[in-house]
Amino acid sequence: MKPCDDNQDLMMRRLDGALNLVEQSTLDAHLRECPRCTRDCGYLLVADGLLRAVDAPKVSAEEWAVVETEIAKAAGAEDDLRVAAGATEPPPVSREEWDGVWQGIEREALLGKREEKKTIDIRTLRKRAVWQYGVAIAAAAVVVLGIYLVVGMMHPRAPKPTIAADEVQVGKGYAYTTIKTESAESIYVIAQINNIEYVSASTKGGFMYSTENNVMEIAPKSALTGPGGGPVEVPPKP
Amino acid sequence: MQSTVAHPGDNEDRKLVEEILAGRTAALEPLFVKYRERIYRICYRVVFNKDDALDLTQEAFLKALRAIETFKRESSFYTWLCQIAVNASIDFLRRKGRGPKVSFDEIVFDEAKLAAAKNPASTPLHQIEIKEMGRLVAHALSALSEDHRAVFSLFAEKDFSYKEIAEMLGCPEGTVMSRLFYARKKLQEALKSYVETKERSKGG
Repeated sequence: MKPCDDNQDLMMRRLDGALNLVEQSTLDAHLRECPRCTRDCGYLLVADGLLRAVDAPKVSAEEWAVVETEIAKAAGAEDDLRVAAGATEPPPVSREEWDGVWQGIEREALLGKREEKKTIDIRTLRKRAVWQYGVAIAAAAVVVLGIYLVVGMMHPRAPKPTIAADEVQVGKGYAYTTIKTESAESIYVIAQINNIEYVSASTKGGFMYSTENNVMEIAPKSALTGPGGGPVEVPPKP
Repeated sequence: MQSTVAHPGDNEDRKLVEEILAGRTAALEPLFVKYRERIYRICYRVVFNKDDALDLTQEAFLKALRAIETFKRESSFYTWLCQIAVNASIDFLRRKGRGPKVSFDEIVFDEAKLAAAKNPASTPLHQIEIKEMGRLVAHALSALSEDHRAVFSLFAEKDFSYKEIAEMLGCPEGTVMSRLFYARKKLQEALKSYVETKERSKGG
């Protein structure tokens, strides 16, 4: 007995009436013994029948009339053109007029070449566009910077506090620094000691706090909250 | 390529074509009345939209009229017209960039052919409702490309041999057979899966 896959092909060809007698009897013998292929053959027959049965929605006489009118209109227009082309003699054309026509062709041809060059040289165009964008962006940046400076002059901001590196003293279990700031706002220092975050506060001027790993951050008061959202806990001075 | 296979009425068609070539465009009308339904069906089974199929039918007749001088007198006008229609439909789908998806409510069956299709008693398919059949067919047809659908559409029209379909679409006969094989296989699998799921749900 042939394997089932081979019989799939025979089934398909049987639908087209393309089997010879030997192939037909081979397939019949297989189908008698193989329920799976018999079932598949049934599905295939139905599939083929369904594909043949796919139709189109009905078109009413009115709808056909519209299509016919459109065709007649288009065909009539073409007829008119043919008649016009065949039956009418064009008026004579002077040498000057022909020269004008030729100049027009020449001009068109040149323009056509220019258009073609534009299309081919698209990378140059793109580069030019990038350059133009660059200038536009630079101009916009200058304007934004100007606005920033004007606003800054009107509302002077407190200078950012700094920690001078040479003033940091690192000892066992603590680090010490002086924060130099002219800001009136209280300064907070966040220090991490053994991965536990401690916070301490100070007004402007000197400040110190301890840390083992020397990680220190400065933040305004408003940004700090203690555990559970309450006030920050200030650990004791070493 | 124009088919040289003869179809009934070819001689009458040729006379009308001669008239059109002689400048009497009105001779297109009897050809339109004779073939419009078939051309419309061929277009519909590619694009699956009634309005688009009607537009394409109109386009096919106008294209035929404009290119009538290229029609070879010894070939069949009907086959030539179908070739124009099916290629216009393929181009339309490509131009539109519309996905090959077919909605089940766009599937219409010829009732007599459907009854014959459901006849085989070896499967439980004779119990399936038409709506469900439409869903399964739409599902299978959605898996076909424009080229596959063109083969299916011409095949479903029943007037053409594989050789003619191949000539119309400009591909080898083997390609036509394999595209049709694919379409049948897709639908066979959809039917099988549907029935088996139903049986499992009844059993469970």
